[in-house]
Amino acid sequence: MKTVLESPWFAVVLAIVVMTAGYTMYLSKNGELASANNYFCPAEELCKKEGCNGTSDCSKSECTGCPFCNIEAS
Amino acid sequence: MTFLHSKNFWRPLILSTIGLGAFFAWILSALPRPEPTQLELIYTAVLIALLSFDSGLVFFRLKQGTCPVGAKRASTVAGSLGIVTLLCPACLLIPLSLFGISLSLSFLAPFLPLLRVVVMFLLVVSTMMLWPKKNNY
Repeated sequence: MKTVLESPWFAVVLAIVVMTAGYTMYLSKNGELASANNYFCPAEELCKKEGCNGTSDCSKSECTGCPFCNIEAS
Repeated sequence: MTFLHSKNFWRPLILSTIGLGAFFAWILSALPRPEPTQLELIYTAVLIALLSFDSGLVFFRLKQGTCPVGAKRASTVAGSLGIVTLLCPACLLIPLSLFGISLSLSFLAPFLPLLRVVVMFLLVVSTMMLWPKKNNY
């Protein structure tokens, strides 16, 4: 136990755990964790239906990281 | 800092820079993903620089017989995590078919910014640990 506490990696792991806990709390507070999305796509419903090549509202510049901007309409 | 004059440091550093540069350029351009943002490009450049520097230090210290195993492992973990963090949220939503197992990494999407910070943190710590001590050079 003493060797574990004295290891420099103990502080590193502790810092990562604290950062993860803090970030998870921050995400939960903002409701982002529940939706599991961190992309911005105001025209998401339209992009889902039309596909991303169908309309300029679904262009990659308009929808940063939107999953539906990389998938062709079915 | 005699390691800066050693070919045991520079050879792996240059080879890693070329290899990692080509690999990360392929990740950013070939995979189906939106255009990388400026921040992602800067992050990738710093990631390649730190990983290459660490590989140079690892080989230098291996030749000296003083390479800390923990730092070497941490660099490997950071490099692997770095590849995951370069995948965009959209790519994470696309299931990966691996040996017939459908695996979605979508649960990681909200944590990408945190993972990027963790990768940088691990790489900086590894560099500090791998930095040759005064009595080693």
